[in-house]
Amino acid sequence: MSPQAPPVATARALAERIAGEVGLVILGKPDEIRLAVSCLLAAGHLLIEDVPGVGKTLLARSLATVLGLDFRRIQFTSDMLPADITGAQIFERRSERLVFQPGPVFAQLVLADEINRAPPKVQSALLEAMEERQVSIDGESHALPSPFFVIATQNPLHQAGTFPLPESQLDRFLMRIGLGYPPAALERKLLRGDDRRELLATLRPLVDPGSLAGLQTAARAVRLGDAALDYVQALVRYTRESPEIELGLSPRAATDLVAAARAWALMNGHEGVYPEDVQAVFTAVAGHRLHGRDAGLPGAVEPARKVLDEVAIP
Amino acid sequence: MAAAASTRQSMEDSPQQLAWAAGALLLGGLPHLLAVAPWIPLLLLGCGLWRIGAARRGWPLPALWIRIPLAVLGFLAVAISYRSISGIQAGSALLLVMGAMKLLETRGQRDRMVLIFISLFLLFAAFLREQAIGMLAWLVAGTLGISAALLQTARQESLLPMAGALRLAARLLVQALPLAAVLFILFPRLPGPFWSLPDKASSGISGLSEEIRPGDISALGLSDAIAFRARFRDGTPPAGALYWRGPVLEHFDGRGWSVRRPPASTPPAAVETDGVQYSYELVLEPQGGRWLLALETPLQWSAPRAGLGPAMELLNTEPIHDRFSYRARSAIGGSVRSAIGAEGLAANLQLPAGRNPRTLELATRLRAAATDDRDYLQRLLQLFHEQPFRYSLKPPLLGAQPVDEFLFDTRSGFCEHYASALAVLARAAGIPARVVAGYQGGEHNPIGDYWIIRQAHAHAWVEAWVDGAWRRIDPTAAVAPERIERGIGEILAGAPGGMRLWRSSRVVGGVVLSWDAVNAAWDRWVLAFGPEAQERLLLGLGFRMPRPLQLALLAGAAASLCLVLLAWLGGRRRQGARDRLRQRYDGLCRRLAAATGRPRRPGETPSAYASVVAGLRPDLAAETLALTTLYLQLRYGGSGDTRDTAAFSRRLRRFRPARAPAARGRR
Amino acid sequence: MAFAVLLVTMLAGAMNYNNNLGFALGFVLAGLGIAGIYHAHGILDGLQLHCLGAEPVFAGELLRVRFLLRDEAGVDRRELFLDWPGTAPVAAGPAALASRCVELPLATQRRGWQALPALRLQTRAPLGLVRAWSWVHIDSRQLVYPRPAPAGSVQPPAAAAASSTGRRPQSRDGDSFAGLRPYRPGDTPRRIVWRRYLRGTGLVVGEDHDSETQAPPCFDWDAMAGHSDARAARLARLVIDAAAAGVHWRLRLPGSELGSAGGQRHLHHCLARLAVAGLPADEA
Repeated sequence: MSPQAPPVATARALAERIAGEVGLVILGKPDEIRLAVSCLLAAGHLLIEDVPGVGKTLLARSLATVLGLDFRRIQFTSDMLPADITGAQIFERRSERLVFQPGPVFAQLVLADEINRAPPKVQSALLEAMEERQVSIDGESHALPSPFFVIATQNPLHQAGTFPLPESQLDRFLMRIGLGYPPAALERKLLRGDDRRELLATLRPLVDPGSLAGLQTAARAVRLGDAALDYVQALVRYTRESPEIELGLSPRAATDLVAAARAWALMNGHEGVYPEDVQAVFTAVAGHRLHGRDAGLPGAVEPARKVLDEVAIP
Repeated sequence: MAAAASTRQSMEDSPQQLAWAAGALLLGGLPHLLAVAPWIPLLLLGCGLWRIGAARRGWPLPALWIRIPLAVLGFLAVAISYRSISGIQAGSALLLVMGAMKLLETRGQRDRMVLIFISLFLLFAAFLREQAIGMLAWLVAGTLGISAALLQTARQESLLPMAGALRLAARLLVQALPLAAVLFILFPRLPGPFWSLPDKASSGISGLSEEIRPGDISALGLSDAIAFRARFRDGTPPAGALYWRGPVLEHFDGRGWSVRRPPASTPPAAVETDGVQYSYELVLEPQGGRWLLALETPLQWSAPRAGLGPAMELLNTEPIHDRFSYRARSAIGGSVRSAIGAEGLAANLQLPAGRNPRTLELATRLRAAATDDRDYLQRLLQLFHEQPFRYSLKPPLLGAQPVDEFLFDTRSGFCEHYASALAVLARAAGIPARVVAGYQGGEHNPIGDYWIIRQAHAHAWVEAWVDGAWRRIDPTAAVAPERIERGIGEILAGAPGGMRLWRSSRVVGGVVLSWDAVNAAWDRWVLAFGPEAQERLLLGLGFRMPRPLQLALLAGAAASLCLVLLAWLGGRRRQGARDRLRQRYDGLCRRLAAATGRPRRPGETPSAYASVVAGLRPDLAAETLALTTLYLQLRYGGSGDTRDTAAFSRRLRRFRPARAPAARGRR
Repeated sequence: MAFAVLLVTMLAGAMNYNNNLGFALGFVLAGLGIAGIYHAHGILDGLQLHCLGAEPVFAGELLRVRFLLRDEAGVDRRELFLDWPGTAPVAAGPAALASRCVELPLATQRRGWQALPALRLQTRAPLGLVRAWSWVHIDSRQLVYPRPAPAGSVQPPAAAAASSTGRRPQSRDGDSFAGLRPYRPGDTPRRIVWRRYLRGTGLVVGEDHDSETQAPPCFDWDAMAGHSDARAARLARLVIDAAAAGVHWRLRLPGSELGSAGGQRHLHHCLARLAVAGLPADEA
């Protein structure tokens, strides 16, 4: 069933090339790009949380191009209906029958832009699709393409008319990353340089869906030793027991952490999952699922950061 | 459930496991293959090939109606070949046949277990056959191989690789050793045997006999075999005084000498001597007789079941079938006074009527010329010396009056001829005399500082009752004094056509002597360890004459102590196994912290800490990074090879970072 | 046992022939046997055993309880077997410094919480001469769903029959809407009955079966006859059928009601409640 995994060195080189290629378009964000790539290698969905205009869409588009995925962008709005995403039965005039008209979610890489603008019903329609990798309309299920990734973006500010994703929904994103403003020097270059969007046109796919699946298999095959497993468990246990954290990491989060750490280890050419691999992805994987009790108070430390500092590496 | 069952099924038929069991059988059977009837190895080979064919090519295994007649046939064949089914020879043959048959029907774990047990018993039987030091190697190799086969046979789920199985077997055996040693030393040794030993009695052990017939032997076969080894404890008597007494022959029938059966009431000899005393320790090879060899006049001995016979010979109550070690103290030289009854003296004057008339006539003539008994005996020796008597290992055969013919016609013979003739001459003159068989001299081994006495050192001499005491008279010394002074080996080496002992080469001789020293130690410490040696050892350790029951309790206590120790060691080892790598890394971090003044934080990854160190101490950067990478690969990359781990540990030990150079600069 | 006989025979032989190598072999083998006991114990000692639980099953099916076994002491434990009393042992031991996941089947008889029986760990390794074993009492219980009544044996409640069985009333136009009403802004396009529009009746909207205006069927505990196991069985059949038909339903149990929903999650939720419904408190 699972496709042939390429040798580790090849897999690593390919993953590096993907990240490098995307880095040509998104300047000065190598870590974020690598996180995004490893998120996709771990077959997970990505949530990018940042203010508008920092290149979220551009990142999603470049990834889609480089990975050779067909791309669809859905702009979420407050007046949307679930059918606007999933599609609906439409009466076809010529055949005088109702046929299923697939919605925009039927793409290999879906950019769900400003997901928090849509009402909860719409959000959950998308999240169901992410989870089940299929869409059920009128008792009929329609499989989504494979691979299937969702990159959702949301605005961190609670503006009027937004619906923040509830915790159970956030749990479905493997990672949440921020992009942030580019460093000043790079921004200068950006200001002076070409329009990045034009650069996008120069990108060429590096992999086909088959070899992308091979990369995912290679990531799943990265060795997770007992020592690394102990570390993951220690981290998870800490979040569940710490009085400073409202809700500990779910089993799904723990699984996601392992998957992401494996993908990261693959990208770094490690023989197995090293503690640094776990740490590198921990904030991205756990950040959006952990809430400190003193969140919002001045001087509050981000819980994920604190966990990493506190938990000893076994 | 079904999956598990099928897994086990497939394991049962695993050809590797079969190969292990068959290998064990081969290992156990190998020492026997050359000794048993030739059809047995062929049968084994045939059955083995058939089984291999069955495992590899899917040949059918023989059905029950073939196997049963085949087994009966094998049984009968053994019974016919050996005319017996018991005893070591026939028993091991039977075991081999059983093993071969079992091979043909081996299907499951239970069958393979039976094969392993047969192999173990074959190994055991091999020791009954032969106990030389070479068999120790066989003991080690055999137990190791068969234990590994047992390990593999017991596995239901997964086989170990060959090296792994041998390693585990070796570990188990090493753990078994202390207990085995304790049991070996303390297990109550009872003087056997409990049932008859047909094989031992029938396989003739060369050595001294209770009878000599000089006229009947045309050539003395001198064997290189070792009769015994002796070690003197303080001071060695001169080589010429080394007369090891064995059976004393007091009865002469006109042709040969034999041991007299004295009346049962005869009290053991009471001895009084003014000779020089020597203490020594003897390891006697099995010889089948009851006598224990001892120097001239035994005064004390450590064999509890031995006593002095009426002729001052040291006799054990049972025949010696196994290597036997004892200590003794003897007096050499001087005269020996022992209370000897009139009956004893009369017996030593006995001569058959009408035999060897010329000898009797010579005796009467010479006695008349001599002033006293002592002078008479001196004249006899002079006679041997002056007349053309020759020492020869190939004397002509003698006829009806052997002593007459020897003294007057052939005048050629070896020690038995001279001793016999002298004793007859003495008796004819009214001097009680007897022939003593034993060994004379010996070969000194400087490596172990002990004497090797071979069958070739066998000798016979005369003891005569002069002035109320027994005196040793060796007529051979009068004829061939070098035989006594230098030992027989050298005489033979020089003798044309004689047996050339290859030991005379110096290099070869050295090797041979070293090897013999090893063998001697083996015999002395291991093989001769029996009830007596055990008793001695325990007395030496301060136990008062332990009884078997007390000994069993002692063995039990010591064994339990061993077990507790084993458990404790096992627990300790397990605790450490996993975290060794981690401990090594912590050691590295401590050293780095000392060198940089910046300890590693608990949540800091090894890589992160390595780069911190690299920033603080660029001189340590390369090695720190290399070691950290190695650690990560080993602990998290899971290559987990013990060799790599060892290499990491070695490299870590060599890494001794100096204190911060900044601190040195300030000083 | 056979080994002990072998040893005794060997020692008797060695004693009879006063054969020291024979003694040595016998004692080494005795020591080997003892060391084997320690190793067998070592295979059990220090093993980490975690019960991962089981996917719920219907009563009468085999509960596949999963266990994770882990070795951290560097001991090869591959010859370790697990079993419940009366079942065939399953090879479960992990290799040195590894972990292994095994499934142990456990027969279930009735719905409700099923406590796990004592688990036996055993091994005959390394020598196959002795068996080391240990009982582990697992403080865990697994939920067993009620065995559903046979398919077709239970009729859905009459009140909801029309809309819960999935047979929709077909209008003569062949479209699958239960009723029609004028279009209101916000209605999805797919509800618009285009055929009517073409006939010039304006935009009308079909109201289909799962429209929220129509109540989903309610399966009621109290409406069922028989003892509690029979009720649970019938209700289980109803919710399974409903989930298979892809419709929404409600489940009313004594003291609680599970709201209208559909899908697998709701199904499992309902079955879990049915597993313990009507059981005495200590069993529930």
